[in-house]
Amino acid sequence: MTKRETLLEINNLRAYAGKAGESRSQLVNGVNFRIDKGEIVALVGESGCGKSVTALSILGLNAASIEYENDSEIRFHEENLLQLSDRKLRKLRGNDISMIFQDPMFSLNPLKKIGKQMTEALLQHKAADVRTARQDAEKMIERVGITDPKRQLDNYPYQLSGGMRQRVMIAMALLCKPELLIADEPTTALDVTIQAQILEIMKDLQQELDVSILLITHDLGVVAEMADRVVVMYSGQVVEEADVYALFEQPLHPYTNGLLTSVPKLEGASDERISAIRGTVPSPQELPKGCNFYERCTHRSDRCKEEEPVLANHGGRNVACWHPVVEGANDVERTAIRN
Amino acid sequence: MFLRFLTKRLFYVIPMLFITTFIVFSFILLIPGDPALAILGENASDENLAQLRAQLGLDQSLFIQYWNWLTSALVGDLGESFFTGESVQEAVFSRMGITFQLVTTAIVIAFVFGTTLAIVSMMKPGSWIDEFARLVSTMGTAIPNFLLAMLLLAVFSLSLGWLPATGFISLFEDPIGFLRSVLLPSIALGAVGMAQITRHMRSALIEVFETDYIRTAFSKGLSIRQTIFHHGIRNAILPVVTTVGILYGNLMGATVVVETIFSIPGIGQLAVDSIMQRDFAMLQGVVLVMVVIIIVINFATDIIYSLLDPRIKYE
Repeated sequence: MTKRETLLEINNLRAYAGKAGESRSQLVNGVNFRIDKGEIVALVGESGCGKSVTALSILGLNAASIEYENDSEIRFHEENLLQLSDRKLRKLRGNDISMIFQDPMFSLNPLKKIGKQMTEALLQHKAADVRTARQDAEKMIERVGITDPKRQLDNYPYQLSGGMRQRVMIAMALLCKPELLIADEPTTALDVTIQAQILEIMKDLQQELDVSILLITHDLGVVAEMADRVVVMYSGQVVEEADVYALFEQPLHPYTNGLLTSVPKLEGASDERISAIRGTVPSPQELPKGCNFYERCTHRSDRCKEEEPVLANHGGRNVACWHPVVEGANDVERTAIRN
Repeated sequence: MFLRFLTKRLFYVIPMLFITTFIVFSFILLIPGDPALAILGENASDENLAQLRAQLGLDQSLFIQYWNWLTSALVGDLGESFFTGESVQEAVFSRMGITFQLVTTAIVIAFVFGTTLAIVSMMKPGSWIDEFARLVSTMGTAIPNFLLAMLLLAVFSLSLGWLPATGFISLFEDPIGFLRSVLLPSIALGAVGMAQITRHMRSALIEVFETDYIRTAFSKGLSIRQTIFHHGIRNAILPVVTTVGILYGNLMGATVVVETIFSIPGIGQLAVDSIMQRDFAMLQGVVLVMVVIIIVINFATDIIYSLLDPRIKYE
């Protein structure tokens, strides 16, 4: 594989809820990963693991009460986005980096026509006039598979179904031809059949426009469908990072392993129990001294209790674990990623 | 489509009018004191009193009295004042015009200042103007309008002499004179409203700012100002429209006190005088017109709603 150019690099991202000096909880604890040009990176983890906070920190869209460590860095075109002034950040938003969200039902302003909302970013960033902006919007929503674009631009969001609204969101996000699209659980709120369509549209447009995608999801099916590379997060930390094929073939972290084995399989005896990861995520206020996954881990040792594992190279892949899973001890569903 | 909505609404309005007027009619008769006695004085003979009662129709049962009033009201005759004999509808409508100008000015002041304060405090949270907005909304609710009216009167009319203390000049006769005559009473009247509107608009804006579509707006690169003006205000103003509608009704009631303090010959003063003199015919007319106005305002609120929110279609 040819080495691609890095587009965005997150270095040692630490985010806290609350002010420094006061009692505050650590939401993101030293996250590192990069996104290359034209790549789809999936950020996986259960709710509350810090994946959304990580994603929102890229565009500075987290609540004002969330603070970052001074040495945390999000590099994009030689600049640290975390240190950028609001004015400069606004120039990036919707222009170089855009975002789509989980629930298309609430992501559009209910009182504004689709066309008005779509052209907003264009008018903001590209100094376009209203007419050409509208023409661009028309072309773009046609590309995401909306028929009769002229009429749809004059509709209000309530006149569109959830799937259509998410298409509009995608079209809107890509209108300024951004370099990076952050998709925060873009299909979670949709019907399964619509999910597949939306993913397909995203994938097609990604290739057509050569945009990188950071896909935040907890759905491993979506990961298998879309991603080139996977970053697995657990309680504010990256626990594993790997190429999608390698990850599904052989997860190294016991947590990733647990995630993959907890997906129910069609083949196999019907009385076979789905293995669930026991226990719950530790609260950010009382993180253990050692590995955050210690309480729930099946591979643990005394070392895990005392020493926090760091993300380290393990056979060409990154994993934060003292005892990575080796050999096919489990039977991962492999067909899922092949089709 | 809209016409159907209109007719449907009228169907609700008619029984409402019957019920409210009947209730008011019965309540008026509960007011202690005899109109005949009030008119003729303590020394009137029983004979004269009985004669006057018969003349005014007061010797009949409640239902017959109501029926008589209703049948003439339906053909546009609200009767004559027990005292002056002047036509009730003429008196009520001329007074109503005055009150309407006063209350509308108060509402405009409350709305403009209330929403502006809320928007500015949203743009600069924690700033002095944000604190000021909070102070205004607390004070406006805490200070009763009669007290505020007297304070304004004492300071701006009696001490500084900037504005007239009493009287009213119609907008259509002399706009400047109108503003001068109406400024103090409408501030006294509108302060509560301004406080309510500031508070509602502020909390509505805060609520709107937590929605996903505001996050979408920010993710497109809009500034906080653009986001407030293009996405925030219209969404936040919907609940405020309801507040304004209710406020109109409230101020119609509150105007009784303020008109008395500033000697404005509006409907409030007419109501007070009618009660004092047991002029039931006049009072009934006053109440009827107030009820109609409040119904019309509710109706207007619904229309404004449908203009602001495309999801609301009246069919």
